Amino acid sequence: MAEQPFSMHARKFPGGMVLELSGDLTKSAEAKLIAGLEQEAELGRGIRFLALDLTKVDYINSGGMAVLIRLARMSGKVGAHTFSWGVTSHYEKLFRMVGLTEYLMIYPNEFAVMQRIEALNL
Amino acid sequence: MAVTNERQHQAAYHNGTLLNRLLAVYLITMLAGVVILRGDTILASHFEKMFPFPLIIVSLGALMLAFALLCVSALRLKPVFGLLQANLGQDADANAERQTNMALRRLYRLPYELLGGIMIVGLSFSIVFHGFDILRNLARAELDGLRLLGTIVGEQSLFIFIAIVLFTSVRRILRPVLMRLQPLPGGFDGRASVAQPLVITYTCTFVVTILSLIQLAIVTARPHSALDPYKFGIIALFYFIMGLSLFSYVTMQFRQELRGLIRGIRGLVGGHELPRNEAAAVVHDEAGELAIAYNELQNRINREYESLERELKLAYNVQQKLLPPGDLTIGAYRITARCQSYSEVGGDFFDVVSLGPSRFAIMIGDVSGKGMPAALLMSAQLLVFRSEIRRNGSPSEVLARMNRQLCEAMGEEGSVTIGVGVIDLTNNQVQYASAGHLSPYVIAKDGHFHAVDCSSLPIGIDPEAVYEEFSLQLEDGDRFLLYTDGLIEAVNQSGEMYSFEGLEAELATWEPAMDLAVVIDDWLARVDQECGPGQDDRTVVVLELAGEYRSVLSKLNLSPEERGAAVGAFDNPFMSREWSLRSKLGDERLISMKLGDWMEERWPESDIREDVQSALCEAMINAIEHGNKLQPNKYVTVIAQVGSMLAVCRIYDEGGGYFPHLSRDEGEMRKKLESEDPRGWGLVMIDSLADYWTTGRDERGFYTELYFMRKSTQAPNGQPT
Repeated sequence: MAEQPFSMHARKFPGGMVLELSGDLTKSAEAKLIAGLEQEAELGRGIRFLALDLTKVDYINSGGMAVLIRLARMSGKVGAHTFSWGVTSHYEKLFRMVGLTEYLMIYPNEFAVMQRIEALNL
Repeated sequence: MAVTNERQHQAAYHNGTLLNRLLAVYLITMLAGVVILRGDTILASHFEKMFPFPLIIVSLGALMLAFALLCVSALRLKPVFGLLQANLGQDADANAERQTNMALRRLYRLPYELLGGIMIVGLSFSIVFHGFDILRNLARAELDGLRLLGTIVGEQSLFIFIAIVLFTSVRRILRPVLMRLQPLPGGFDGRASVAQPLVITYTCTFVVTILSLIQLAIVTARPHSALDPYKFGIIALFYFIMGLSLFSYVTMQFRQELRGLIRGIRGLVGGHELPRNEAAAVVHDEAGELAIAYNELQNRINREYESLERELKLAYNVQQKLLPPGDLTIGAYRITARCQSYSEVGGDFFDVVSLGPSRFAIMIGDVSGKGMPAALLMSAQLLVFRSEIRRNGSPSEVLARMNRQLCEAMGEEGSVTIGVGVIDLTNNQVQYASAGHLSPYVIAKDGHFHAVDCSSLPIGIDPEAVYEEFSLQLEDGDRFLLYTDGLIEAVNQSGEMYSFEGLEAELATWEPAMDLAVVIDDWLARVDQECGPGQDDRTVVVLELAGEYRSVLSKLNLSPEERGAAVGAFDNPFMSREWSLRSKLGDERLISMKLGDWMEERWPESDIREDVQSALCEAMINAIEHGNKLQPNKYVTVIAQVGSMLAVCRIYDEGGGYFPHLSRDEGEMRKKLESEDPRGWGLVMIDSLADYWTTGRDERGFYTELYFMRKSTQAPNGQPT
């Protein structure tokens, strides 16, 4: 399987935003992801929850993890929570390995994430 | 528009300056004429009829003549002024050459015109003034022929004097203008020759002197008035000084022209470039042609020099490529080597050669002599060393064979000092042999150091020479220092040699905790600062035992058969697979997929495929980014072997390598996690995903080696069971 170009689609929900990521998550995705987020999300102003849909991400390397860490820490700094779903067990293991799970909560699917967000909203 | 105005203003300024200078010359010359006339009249009262006017009238006449000359000059030089203005304003147009020709002609002719003009004025004056006198005296029959002749001779002498001074001075003033009027129009010479003005000025000077002498002779020949010998002496002295001054002045003018040329020649001999204006501006006389010839010669020399410099630079690049990288890691050893060439190419060299999985060799050498011959010999010796050390790794035998080869090839023409050490990674023993090379030092972790004494002949002197071999035991943290004499013989500003005392004083300051490369770079920079680039190459090679080496396989829980199979499999092309990729991020994934496919085929029940793929990707990314520094012409090679119980992958790069150390310290992990740029997780992932990993070096280059055991269950926290 050759390299899959990274792409991102953002959609909003009350109090938060879902980022649907697809393709390979590597260091080269950093500029796109961070810039796109800063531009669209206006983190901290109205958006308290950031949810990452990683279902269509097949490959994440150390560079991609660094990007995720940066992203999750950026949201954490402004008081937003970061969630994710669609992470394979292999990458969940890697996320734990590098300490990403401290900033990024992993759930099995979108429904579970939304339930958790609703619970937090109450 | 503003620019044009400014340029026109500039041109006007230049033209004004030229006219001012001409006026100054005219005035000074006329004044000198008046002074001489006055001196003449005072000294030789016999000539009271020469300009029998009051001083004020004579001065006014001189002043008027000066202004008249200025007007004539301005009129004659009109095309020159126009051209100067055009030159400063914009580039020459279609009829520029014709204009330039015209201007040049006017410029060259003006001094001659002045010369001729003044002479004609002088003659006319004498004819008109004395002709009238003669007619009047003839009528009265009281003509004193001798006296009249004396007066006329004196007047002509004075006018010719003025003409000559004007001629030479104006030529000098116009010279810079001539230089600016380029390019040289074809076929223009005529009055440009230097010979013509030279002949004319000397002839005229000679005539002035002769006329003055005639005048003096006439004065003394007058029968009725005996001349006071003192007065005669003074008059003679006056004419003598006048003639001498004129000769000196004319000669000095020509000397000045020659000086510029001599300066150019000196510059050429000294290897400096000619000043730009002198190289570009050429007058159309013999001096100018000589200058053109010198310019051509200089250009040719410059071209030759540039091509030589290019070749030397190329040779330097070749030399640098022959040498291994300056920072290398082999097993538990770290090697830092620096080679500073005194000129473009040097005679110092060093090498690090892998001799299989547990041995490697380091070498340092210094070819006697300098420059290209030394550099060629150095390159040859480096290649001979590489082939000889691989034939048989004993340092003394290698030196003996190299010695015989060099003696046969060069006779007694070239000698080389070499120090060779072979290091055994399993027991940290160094076998060292030296061929006339300076004693190496061993610096212990506690700061103590000692020199390893060895004396022998350099190679290339005695074909039968025998080299003694020493055995040294290195301990953890020991540093083994090799160096060349360029360092020891470096001389500081106060003339003191760096010497062994300087070296040992330096070694005493080395801290074991400090990074070796930093220590060496700092040291050499200080030597450079104190002693300058010096007269010889400086080379330092330091080997540091940074950690304990253990066999990888002994750490894995493997049966003896498996171990044997794992070692052998790498050399067996049927049991291993190999892939190469250029250093471009993104390409690593395909190779990891291929390995994953192969592994699934060989170990169908195992579920470590994704771990292997991720670990391999990270190792390749490291090799691409850090080993090969993302240079696309460098390759990363992966060799993998999947045995029945063990899979081993080696990822080679072309870089200097790194230590297989990874800190899992909580604090450091957190710091990494919370940094602004939270990178560097590659090794953490490799360390967690592979069962074991290490680094090494062999003839292919530096490698990271990953080990995976065949298993099908994984602990939930990612640690292997």
